[in-house]
Amino acid sequence: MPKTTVYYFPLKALGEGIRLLLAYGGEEFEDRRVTSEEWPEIKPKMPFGQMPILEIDGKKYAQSSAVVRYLGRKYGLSGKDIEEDFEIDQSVEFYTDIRTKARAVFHAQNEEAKAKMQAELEKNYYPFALKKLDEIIKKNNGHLALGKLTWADFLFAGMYDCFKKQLQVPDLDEKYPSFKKLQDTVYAIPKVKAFADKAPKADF
Amino acid sequence: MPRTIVYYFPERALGECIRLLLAYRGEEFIDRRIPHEDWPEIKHKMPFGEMPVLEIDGKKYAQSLAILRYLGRKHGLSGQDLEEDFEIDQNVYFYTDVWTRGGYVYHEANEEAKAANMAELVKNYYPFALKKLDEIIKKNNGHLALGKLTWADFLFAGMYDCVKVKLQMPDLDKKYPSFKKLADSVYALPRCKAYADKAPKTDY
Repeated sequence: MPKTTVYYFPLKALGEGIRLLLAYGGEEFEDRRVTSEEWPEIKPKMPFGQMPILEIDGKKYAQSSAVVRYLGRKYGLSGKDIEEDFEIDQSVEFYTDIRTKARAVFHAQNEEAKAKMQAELEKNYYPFALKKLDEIIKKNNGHLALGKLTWADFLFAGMYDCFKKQLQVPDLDEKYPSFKKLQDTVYAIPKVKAFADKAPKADF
Repeated sequence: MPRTIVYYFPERALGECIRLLLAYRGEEFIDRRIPHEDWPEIKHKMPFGEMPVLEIDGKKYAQSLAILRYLGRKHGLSGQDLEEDFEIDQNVYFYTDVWTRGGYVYHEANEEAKAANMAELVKNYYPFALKKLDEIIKKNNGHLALGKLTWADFLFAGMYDCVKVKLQMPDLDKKYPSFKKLADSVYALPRCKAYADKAPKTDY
């Protein structure tokens, strides 16, 4: 059994998708949650000075999107050919785009600018983008691509609470119930549920 | 011969990465550059209301990284297994991280915050991140991954001048010559050169 470790902060966010995939794949792993006090010492040991990091038998894998795709392909949660893999990637990149725009608001320093950017997104972007995301999930039987469970769903489920926080769109669960439903679908998978029941609780 | 069209603005940036890869592989394509004034009318015809979009025999492919990975795998510019594909993805996402962070600051509307945030990046992020990127390229024989030409290099080359703008580092070429060298090496590939010689000139 390879020694597998997931290094991340005591959050779900970008580390959670990796943990959920490993749980799904039946891979025992050390769920190493690095506190902010510990982080400065550990940071230089990480290939890109960031987390999450997946370590398998001493080999470190960085960049969460790269890691979840890798695990997805490993565990049969990807497409059967490059056309299908493309469809997963397309849905994931679209979702990531929405998050990137939301994060830009978070990064804005000035409160006035922040409010202005948020208003702009709520008026001109989120209605279209979130509706599109909702359509994709509905068209795919409650999944992000291929009408079935893929690694994209694990990425989405793990990030969802963080995503809600970053969007700052009130009542997201009520507006687009398909989003929370997809998260719940992943967390209901027995091996995933078993992991989550025992794991430390985190708000996002 | 499939009818292939690349839809993008009259810029290089993300559209260029796709154009260069298609040119390299000898794939004829229509280089459809949509002026910004015409975009509002065409926007709704694109699957996610954005560009670049690649169209092959009527099928539309959106999301630039998904497209590049797809074309890379289709045209022998990806890894030979999961581990190698992972390495390409990892280095690509690190590169996109760098320009995304730069972009948050570059697009900051408030001048004072912009200057403060840029100072923060210059002090605490760029030295590490750009040095890391430089190390990766040197370690990989002047490429972004696997020590050889992959789809990642086309992303790098197409985006390079845009990245310099987003990083607000006009002297990036001098600071890290390996970057420009990589971009130039892609443009020096005979078919890429032939394409670029005829293509409209743009600043980025």
